[in-house]
Amino acid sequence: MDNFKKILGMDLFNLFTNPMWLAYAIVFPLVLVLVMGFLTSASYGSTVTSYDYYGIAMMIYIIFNAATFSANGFMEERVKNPNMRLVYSPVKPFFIHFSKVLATFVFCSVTFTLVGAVLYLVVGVNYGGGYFGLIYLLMLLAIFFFSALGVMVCCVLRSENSTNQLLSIILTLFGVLGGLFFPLDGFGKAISAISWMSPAKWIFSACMQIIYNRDISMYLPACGVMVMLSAAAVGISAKLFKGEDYI
Amino acid sequence: MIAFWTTLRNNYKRMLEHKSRVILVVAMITGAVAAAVFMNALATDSIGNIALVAPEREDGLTSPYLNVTRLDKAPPLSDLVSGKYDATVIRKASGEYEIQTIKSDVFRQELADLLADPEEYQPDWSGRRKVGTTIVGFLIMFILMQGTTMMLFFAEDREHGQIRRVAAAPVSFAGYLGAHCVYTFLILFVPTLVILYLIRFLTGVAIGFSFFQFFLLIFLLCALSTAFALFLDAFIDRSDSANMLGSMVSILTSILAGSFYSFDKGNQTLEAIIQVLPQKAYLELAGGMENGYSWQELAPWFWYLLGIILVFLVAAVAKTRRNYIRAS
Repeated sequence: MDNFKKILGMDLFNLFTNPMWLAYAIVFPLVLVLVMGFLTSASYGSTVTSYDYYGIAMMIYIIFNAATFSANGFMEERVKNPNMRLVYSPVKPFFIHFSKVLATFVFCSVTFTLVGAVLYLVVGVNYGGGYFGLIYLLMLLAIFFFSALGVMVCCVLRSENSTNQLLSIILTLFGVLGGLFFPLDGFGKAISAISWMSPAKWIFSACMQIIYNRDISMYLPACGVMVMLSAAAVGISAKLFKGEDYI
Repeated sequence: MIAFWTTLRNNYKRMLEHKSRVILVVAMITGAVAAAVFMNALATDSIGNIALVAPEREDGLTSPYLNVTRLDKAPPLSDLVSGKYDATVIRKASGEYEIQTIKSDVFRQELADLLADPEEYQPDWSGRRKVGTTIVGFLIMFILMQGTTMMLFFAEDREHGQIRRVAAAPVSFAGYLGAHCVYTFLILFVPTLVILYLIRFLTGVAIGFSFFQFFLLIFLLCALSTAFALFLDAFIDRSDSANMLGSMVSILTSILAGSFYSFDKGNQTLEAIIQVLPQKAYLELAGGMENGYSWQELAPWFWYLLGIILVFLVAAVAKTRRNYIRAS
């Protein structure tokens, strides 16, 4: 366990000291929500504002980036060699990739909380009032899943570049299918049904129902989906991870 | 010239070593183009989706401009916020309509006008984008993001230090950089155009532009993307950082420029920023072409875009030269 703590500490250090990643995790989401919210504010009324919509929708999109962070933190040029040494040291292989998942989870949770707090204070995004805790927990579960997904894709493709490319298309697809950028219900029944294949749809719908209807019927299924997917992603990573592939 | 062809051939061989990468690129471009074309084709003429709650099933409300779903009771507020319905319309026993919506009063008024006289209603679509401009609008963000990913061999050369050897060797540096640009450009341009035309001829979906117009527009877009990618990779040492910054800038500026929806209301500072964005010039150019403007009217946008592309290229080349070529 001591080994694991050391690796985790190093991974966290790597994440928190990269200025570009900090910008990507903090400045980018803030600007994205503010810009989208501001540009569309004219088409909303006074009860629910455009910031209420994008404060949830874009934040879910931002959670997806956890996959990009964990993939890069796992296979980036400068961590490849250290990882290589770990492979040949008496450390459980599971520690090597799982610490990346956990480090990304911590990093993204911290930056996500920060961005959410700023948005709440500056433009007053509705995060569900008293039900805030439920929303927060679901978002954290989602961050964990996407952190695990990034590492899993790395273990499958074994190349950082292909991983980045594949992830960018999967994540955009999840976003569009989940209706984060524009609602899909106007495109007919078939596309509405397909949209449930995207985890974004589950998270988004569950959040909307809690915040605006005080209806928690979708909450447990959404959490369940996240936990199951996370377990599957970690399991697949453990199965496919082969240290020698780093060479 | 030798440096150019050698680098180009070398890039091609490096690409073949990673076949999965090539397949991914083509798959992604196919997906993006197909999405851009079909989303557009599926979109209806309606001004919104409404949930109609009426006492009797047959209420006679039909309009080509309205997507009506009949419900027994009003949908929950979350369905309005998530955008499933733009409004709930409740028909009272007296025959009057009650509108519930979270959208602006402008939309409420529009809907009220339509409900008052569904037969005569004509939406005001003077500023509405046509099909071709919408398609290229969707492609802008995607192609710009792909540019930085596809410039990877130049980024790799820089990250692994091979570029120092190139600079020290008696080869043309301009040829070397030119080859990277041509490689990135071709890998974006050829699949995009081919797939666009395949979809056009296989399914017969409208794409709005003539072959030549599309050629020119996609050419410009891919050139912009290539120049931007070279610029980023020249100024940022680590390829991951360059990719991330590229995605951030591409997403934000494309949204601001109105690649997806055009926003009519903004404030002056934002408006000024938007006016200088190359994506804005590009959309104006595409929109103008589709509306049949003359060359004189289109020329300013065209030259502006070309200017931006040149600025990116010149800055990137100057920076790389300064980094790696020692003064003799």
